[in-house]
Amino acid sequence: MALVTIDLQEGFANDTVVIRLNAQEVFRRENVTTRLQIGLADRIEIQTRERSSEVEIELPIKKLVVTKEIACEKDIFLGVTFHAGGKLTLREQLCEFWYA
Amino acid sequence: MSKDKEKRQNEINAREEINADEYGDIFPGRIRFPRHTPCTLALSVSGLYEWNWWIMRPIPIHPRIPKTSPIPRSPGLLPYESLEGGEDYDVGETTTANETEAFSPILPWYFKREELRLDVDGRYPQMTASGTMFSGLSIRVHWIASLAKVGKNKWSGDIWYKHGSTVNLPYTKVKITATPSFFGNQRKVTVVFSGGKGMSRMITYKYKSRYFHPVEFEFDRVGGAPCVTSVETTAHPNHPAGMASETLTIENVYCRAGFNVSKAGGDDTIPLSEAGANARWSDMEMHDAMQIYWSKFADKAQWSMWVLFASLHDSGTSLGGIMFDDIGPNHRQGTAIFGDAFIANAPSGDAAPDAWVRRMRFWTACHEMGHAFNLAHSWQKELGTPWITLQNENEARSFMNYPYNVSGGQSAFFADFEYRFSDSELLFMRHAPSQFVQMGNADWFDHHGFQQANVSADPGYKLEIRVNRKKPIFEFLEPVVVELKLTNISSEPLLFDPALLSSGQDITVILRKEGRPARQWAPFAKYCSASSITVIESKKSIYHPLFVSAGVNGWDIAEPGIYLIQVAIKNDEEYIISNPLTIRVAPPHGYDEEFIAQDLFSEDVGRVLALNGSRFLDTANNALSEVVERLPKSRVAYHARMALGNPLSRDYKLLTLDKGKGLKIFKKDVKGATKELDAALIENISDSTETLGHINYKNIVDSYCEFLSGEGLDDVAAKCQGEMHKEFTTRQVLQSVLQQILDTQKSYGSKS
Repeated sequence: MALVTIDLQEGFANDTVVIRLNAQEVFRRENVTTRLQIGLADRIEIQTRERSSEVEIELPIKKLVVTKEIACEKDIFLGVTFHAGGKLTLREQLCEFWYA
Repeated sequence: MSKDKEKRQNEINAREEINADEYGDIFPGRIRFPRHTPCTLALSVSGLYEWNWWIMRPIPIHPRIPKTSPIPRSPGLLPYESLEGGEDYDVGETTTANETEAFSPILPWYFKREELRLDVDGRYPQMTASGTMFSGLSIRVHWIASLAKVGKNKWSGDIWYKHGSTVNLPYTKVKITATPSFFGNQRKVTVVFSGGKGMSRMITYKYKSRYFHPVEFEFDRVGGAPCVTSVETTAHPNHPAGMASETLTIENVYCRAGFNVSKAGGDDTIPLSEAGANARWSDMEMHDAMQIYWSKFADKAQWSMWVLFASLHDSGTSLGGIMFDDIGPNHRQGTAIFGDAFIANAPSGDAAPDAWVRRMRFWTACHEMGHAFNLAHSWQKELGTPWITLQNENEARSFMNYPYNVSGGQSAFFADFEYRFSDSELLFMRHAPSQFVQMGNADWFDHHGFQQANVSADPGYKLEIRVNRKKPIFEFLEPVVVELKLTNISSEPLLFDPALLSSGQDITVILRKEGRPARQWAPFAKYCSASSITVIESKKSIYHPLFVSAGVNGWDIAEPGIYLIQVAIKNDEEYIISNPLTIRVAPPHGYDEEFIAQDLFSEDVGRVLALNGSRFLDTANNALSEVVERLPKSRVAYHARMALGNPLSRDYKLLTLDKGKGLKIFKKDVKGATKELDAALIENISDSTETLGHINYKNIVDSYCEFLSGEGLDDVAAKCQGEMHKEFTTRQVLQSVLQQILDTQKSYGSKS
């Protein structure tokens, strides 16, 4: 079993965010806003038994979706950023993201 | 190094940052030659300069027969400045020097003060001059110029930034001549302002300090938590080639950024129990601890901050530190460093793990304190509406960048990191209007409003907010009605739903009283109306009045003072943002106004004024009747009469819950309505038009005329329209509106 940690990082401003893991909704929150002094809006931790999973992050009001196939053999950390140009990006790493 | 030795070393370092020529700042009147500083440094000219002009007004303890003395003259001023406000000067109360013993204290009667920050040499020169002009008690204008050297101790450049009462600074260029000296009291800078519409102006500023601003730090620590306030710059082998090997303190870092740093308080130890049951710290717990342990805590803006060294934040090891103070009315006063978070773990295989950890803890402390100066992260510079247009600095080797986020990671970062802030950050800290930088002043990341709004890069509309008066000054108690003007600035006709302006659903109004946090206006009513999209032709506008004084949050505009109002309209997924409008609410004229204020600034009265009257809210109506009775000539009396008269002009349905009564009908009161509305709208039409606002006024008069016509008083209605036409012509209202009024007048005239 692996832990998938998803950090909603820069660029969120009163956004509704929906997260699906393998097409199943695991998170939905309104008014997600980045706390600018640390560059983090919210953190979601999901346990999964699958060896690989598809993560989908959706901002339904902005009509934006980003998906990523991830290997879940180890704990994995994903950072989601909404860029000013209207692009949603997802960064993956094997250690937790740091903030200050 | 033992702790005592380290402390002594830090004190020596901090002292060394104080140049010998700074001695006079600390011990006024005492002069000392520089000892440790090379001559070239001692003759640097960067720093803070000041010019003051006061007219003194003595306050006699015992009545004396005054003798006259020469009027104090303003130094170094060309005609542009000449004794502005001189009518306040009372020669009858001046005195001679011999008499001053009998007079105490002496207070300024009128003053002007100017500060100049010259930044052309020393550490990280930005080749910039900036200044702030204070005039009287309310006028302040800030300017910034980029400089190029044009001779020995001479610079010139264009003024590229102005903020505040910019009408008082018509100039566009500066020429600066500095007079360096070993002695602080002989240093001066002469600035010639020119360009623009004003005559050129020359002014000589006296040296005040090598630093641009003062700042005070207090370091408190939680018992047992790591507390790193200094670092050996070359202790870790990965550092820039040629970096000076020194013990650098946090104070040194901020001295080099241009601040005259002092330490406050006793660097207390805080018991861990303050962190609650789990021994980790939440933002609220830290905020509470700040109020208890910070010796300088105050709900006001001050150049002072509290730094807490603790072990861990509630959110765990991923948070190395936080400027937690975005709570309450005064932000950015407190910041915390979590020494046992990820910054305590050097990368595996690091050559000097202890030095790595110490350096990261030091970096984190300086980084979090940078947030308290209102610095954003290096990659956030373009967000919101920065004070000037900025570009992200993703690769900057600055305290405000994350070392682990640059290309090549933290080792690449520290290989080039010189323990400094970037030039754009130094420009902000040294030269931005001080209210943007000073702790507890502008809210965190918020000195411009609408920081996160999604604004169209190519807007089709321009939204203006304005008031129909020459100066945006409102009487005390006077309700504030602003006018929204939405213009199609594209070259094509655009579709727009006018209900967006009036519904209250899609409009955001931010109100901020000077020195207070911003508030969002919450209207008493929001209207859900069917979309009625209309075409706005290119360059055409639509208008709507907005009563913004009060809402369900209470009276947002009430106390005397200066307020900033800004409006955003959500059109599809984009915001159309207005200009910020600054208005002033004047102080009360006397006891009556202060007394009435207690009843007027209630929710019921706000509701009645916003909704144009009620026959149910008796308390509010009584308060408004008292306004009419006690302050008949005041501006608020027009609003009161309008709100009292309007519901009398129609049959009024009131649903009561009394048994057996149900719907109650109040018959219209023609005499009462005419009395109040005539007084509100016609008797002093210039004042009522101004205070109610053009659009609002026209709507109310049209409605009143319909009522008059319904009562068979078409001649009176025609006269009302005629009076309105006359007044609006004087006010240069749009020709189409004037024509509309004439047509309406004719229609009533033909009936009478």
